[in-house]
Amino acid sequence: MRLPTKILLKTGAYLLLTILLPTSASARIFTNLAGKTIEADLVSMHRDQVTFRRTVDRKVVTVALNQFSAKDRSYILAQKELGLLSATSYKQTQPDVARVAKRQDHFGASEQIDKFLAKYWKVQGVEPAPITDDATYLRRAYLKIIGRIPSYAEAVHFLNDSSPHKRSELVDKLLESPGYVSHNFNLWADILRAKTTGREGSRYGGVYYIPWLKDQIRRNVHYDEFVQSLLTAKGYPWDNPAVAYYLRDFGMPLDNMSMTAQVFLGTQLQCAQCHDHPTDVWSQKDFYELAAYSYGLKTGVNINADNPKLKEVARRLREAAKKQNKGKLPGNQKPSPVSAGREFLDPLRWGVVHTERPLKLPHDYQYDDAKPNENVAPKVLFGHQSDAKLHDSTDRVDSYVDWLIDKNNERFTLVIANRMWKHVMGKGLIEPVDELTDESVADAPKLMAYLESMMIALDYDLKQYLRVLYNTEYFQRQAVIDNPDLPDDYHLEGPIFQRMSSEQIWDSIATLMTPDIDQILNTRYKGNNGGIQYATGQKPAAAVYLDEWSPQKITSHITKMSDVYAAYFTARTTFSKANQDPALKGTPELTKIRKELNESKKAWNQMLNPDLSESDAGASMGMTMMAANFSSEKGKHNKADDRWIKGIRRASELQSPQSNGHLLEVFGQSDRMLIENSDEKSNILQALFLMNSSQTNWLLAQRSAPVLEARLAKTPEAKLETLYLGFLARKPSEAEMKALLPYFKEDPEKARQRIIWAMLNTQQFLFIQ
Amino acid sequence: MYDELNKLDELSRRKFIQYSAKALLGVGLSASTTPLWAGQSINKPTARNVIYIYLSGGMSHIDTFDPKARWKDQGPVQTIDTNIAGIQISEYLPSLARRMDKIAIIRSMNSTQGAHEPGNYFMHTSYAQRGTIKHPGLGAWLNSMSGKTNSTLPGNVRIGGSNNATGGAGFLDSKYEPLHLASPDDGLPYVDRHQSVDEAELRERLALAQMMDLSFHKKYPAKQVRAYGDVYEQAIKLMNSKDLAAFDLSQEPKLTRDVYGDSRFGKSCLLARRLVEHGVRFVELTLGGWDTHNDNHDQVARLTSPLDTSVSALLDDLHYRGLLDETLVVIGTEFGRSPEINSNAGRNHHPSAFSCVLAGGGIKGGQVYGSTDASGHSVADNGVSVPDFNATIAYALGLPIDKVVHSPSGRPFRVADKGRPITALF
Repeated sequence: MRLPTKILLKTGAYLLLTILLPTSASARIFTNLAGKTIEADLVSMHRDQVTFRRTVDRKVVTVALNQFSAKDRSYILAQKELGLLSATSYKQTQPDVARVAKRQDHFGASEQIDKFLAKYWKVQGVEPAPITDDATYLRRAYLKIIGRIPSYAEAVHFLNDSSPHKRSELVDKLLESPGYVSHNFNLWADILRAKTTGREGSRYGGVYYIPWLKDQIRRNVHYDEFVQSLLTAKGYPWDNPAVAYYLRDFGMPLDNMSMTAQVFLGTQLQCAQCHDHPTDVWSQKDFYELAAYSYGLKTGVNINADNPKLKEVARRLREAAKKQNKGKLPGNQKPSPVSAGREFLDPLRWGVVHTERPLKLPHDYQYDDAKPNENVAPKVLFGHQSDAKLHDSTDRVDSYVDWLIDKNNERFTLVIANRMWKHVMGKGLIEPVDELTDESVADAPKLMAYLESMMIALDYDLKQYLRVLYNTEYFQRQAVIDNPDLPDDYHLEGPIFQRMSSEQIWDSIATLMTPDIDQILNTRYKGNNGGIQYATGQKPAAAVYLDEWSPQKITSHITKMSDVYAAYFTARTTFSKANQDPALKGTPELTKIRKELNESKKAWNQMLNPDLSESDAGASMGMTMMAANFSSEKGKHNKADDRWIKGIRRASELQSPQSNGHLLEVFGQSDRMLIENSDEKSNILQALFLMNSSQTNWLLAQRSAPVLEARLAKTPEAKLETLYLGFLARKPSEAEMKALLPYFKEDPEKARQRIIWAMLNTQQFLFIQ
Repeated sequence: MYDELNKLDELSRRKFIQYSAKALLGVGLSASTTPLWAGQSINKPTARNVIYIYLSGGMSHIDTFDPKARWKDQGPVQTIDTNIAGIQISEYLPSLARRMDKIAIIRSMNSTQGAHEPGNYFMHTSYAQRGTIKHPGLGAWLNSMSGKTNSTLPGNVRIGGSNNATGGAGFLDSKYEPLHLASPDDGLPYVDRHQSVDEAELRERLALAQMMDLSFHKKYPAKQVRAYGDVYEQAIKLMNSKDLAAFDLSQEPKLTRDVYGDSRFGKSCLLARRLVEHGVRFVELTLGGWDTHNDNHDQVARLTSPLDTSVSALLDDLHYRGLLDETLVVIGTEFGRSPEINSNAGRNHHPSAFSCVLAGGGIKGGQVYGSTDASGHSVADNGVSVPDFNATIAYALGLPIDKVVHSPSGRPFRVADKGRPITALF
């Protein structure tokens, strides 16, 4: 099939760029014994296996040292002597701190926050929690900023660092790391209910939306701009991924509006959708007046009416179908150019368009202030109502979004400032974060007001706002228990003591197996709906043809397709009848019919998804863990275990959400069906996993990074310390040393398994101090 | 009255006029005087166990248990007779129609919650969702008030549905949290000790973990931390339980498995029966997909197929094993669907009238309780609120409906809030 020229050019341009773009500062050209050269960064070296990352596609490869040229071998060994090439990578996984801009600017704000809190404590008559030690700070900073525990190498580096500013340097470094994107993605995916699975993943644009969300976080797009992109989006998700925000609530524009009000304004309007709110001040009319701004945005394109080109195609297909069917239009259920067209053009139905449809009050509207079925004029919920003339749906949406993200919209700023405070400290100054009422008062009102003004002054730069919070003394205080049953006992003495989220637990286990887990990214999601494949960076064929072909061409193409469709359709009906016939159950005849169905389905799918793909150069997944490459390791190699290790990714790089039964779900990941639906409850299945899985009994004890490092340690004391640093990010206490060393000396293999199992089954592993 | 006036003062001035009128008419007025039923004693329980089948999304009532043959928007679904004269249901449920003698349909359900999350929450807990507290579900109430019958298996199990569902332990002790099984086939994951570990080694390891946690536990004696201790204990009991076989569906003869059907829901029903047989008192199954805003009839036809087959198999099976009298089978949903068909050939949410079903556990089969008007829009008589429905289940189980239980923060709650059981159903 001929590749459209546009795509060829794009591919060429991409390849060119990858060659011309400056490569990493420490990349070097290596040569192997056969004379082949490659440009790469060294990652690590264990015994005689050298791991490096190819510059061209960021793929990680492991090769024996004796495969390198003599010159390279001496280079590599020299690096190792200098301590620049550890067994588990450190240097190459760390971002370049020098590039971090203007660290000093925000210190004033951090101190100001501490001052407000000091006044608050004085008034409340409480003492704040003391500042934590380095080990506790280390673990908390990593978990809170990038969502995982530090690797052994990262822990050692921090704990041995004697710089007086090391804590704030760590904050800066973590904020620039790819881990920051992964961790914050989980937060926003929960809030926006972003999914890559099911309908939401495929036809409603999830496969385009999730990479876009990550990109917004990576580029630190300012929050008000981000919200604006979401709420003013229109078109198709492959062109404008933000459109998935509306498509997420396909066919339910009022529900979508109530989510918008909840998420961005902290205002719960759901009840007011059907009647005056029973406990808050909003009336049903208020809700409808706000919804009237965006009601013109329709999720769902009427192929036969909304797009003139498609309308023409539909007309021609009807003609073609009539011609095939003796002048009469065949029924909806019969295979024909019309039904083939319906299947093929299906993706074009799922987009967002502006219409001029008016919003009417429901037919059973029961209040005196208006009549049922009356048109609703748009009006803002509170604050300043602009009196600019609104000519059409686009004007209305723009007007309402301008009102929503305005610096003077008190709830907009309050919600994000409070939400980010909660993200850092564990609990909002006002709780719940998205259920504000006129009576909502912050625990420390002056502090809340200061945070709001800071958010505005920073122009909604979330990363900078977070940087200020992470640099406060408050963030460095010991965690404090906030008993949910006794909420009045908490007086902001310190950040909240809480369990790791399910993503943090999963990502931490991933880090134990693979220290450079942050580099392993999934840039390409795939989904399927009605036979049509949706994939990141790839338009469905129907969209490509709509752009590039004339209606005649599209029609004749679909008419050709309709024969394949007819064959598939017949096979499907035959199979469905045969499958229900008890006489045919298990017979070879049924198998034959099933085989025919599969073949015709395959042919039809190939027509639905012709190969228009761009080259795979940009879409590689970083590859496997070092541990899996150590074939020289003694011990059993279970295929299932190997597969598990090979497939480990951070939660943000897996499907969103994970399926039922997956560990992420067992530990409480949000199902992304409801807003922020995750939980941190304990349950029996978690305990069973931690006690009996091969991960905690075998894999982590044999093949995790801390264990590989421990094997290199010379004394049992050093080994024990390495294990503690790797798993619990702290050194063992005197008592622990005394109790554990004897085992270690007696039977090191067994002791190691027992100690690691025990560490993973402590509660201190699961909780953030 | 002064309480109510104080409430008015808290509200914003903007809506003062609207609200004063409403408050005087009864919104916000709670029955602050001693309830008339304060002296009622606990009923003798007719049910020991509950199998609660939750249809999530809002099942369309007129296309299932409350058909309206003469309504203009009934759609392509026909009405059929059942094995009880005078009761008719939708043609999508033929097997259940033949077992109507065991079933009681409540057609006059009504709810105040028309959105999924609040509706689901209300149905599971009898209370409106609040950001400030989590209410327990019936399974947790049952286990906390009446205890487990099998000491090693959990007393409360949920099969299918989301892991983050409502109606868990709430403010009750976390040990009442249901065990959530994602899928009925797989059995319990990780329930056997790892091959490299024997009983003694496991004990050593647990002791070592405790030792490592000593100072941590002292520093952070938090409820959530203690909950993990409880959960480990329960997990170990479960691992050593002789009744673990209950989770293994392959132990059922093929004939039985076929009768329940090959669908995930069918297997869940079979698993529920096995669990109840082994003494698990509350099993909740979720069958999703009922939110038919688009293509209502196509979807309902598809959804009712496993419902019809598997629930019929379950009722038969329980009956022949002599378990039906002590097992209350419930079919619940958060709301019904609009009698009007919308522009996507679908039906929208409709909380003002919908249907739920009860069977077994002392319920008199072969009856319809309550009715809706000719179109299925509103309740015509004998309305049953969501708390009333849950009170009926609690009544069957012999739970003290009027007992006030205080949450740790001192707030008072009851099993089914102010719901009254429908004794006519028994």
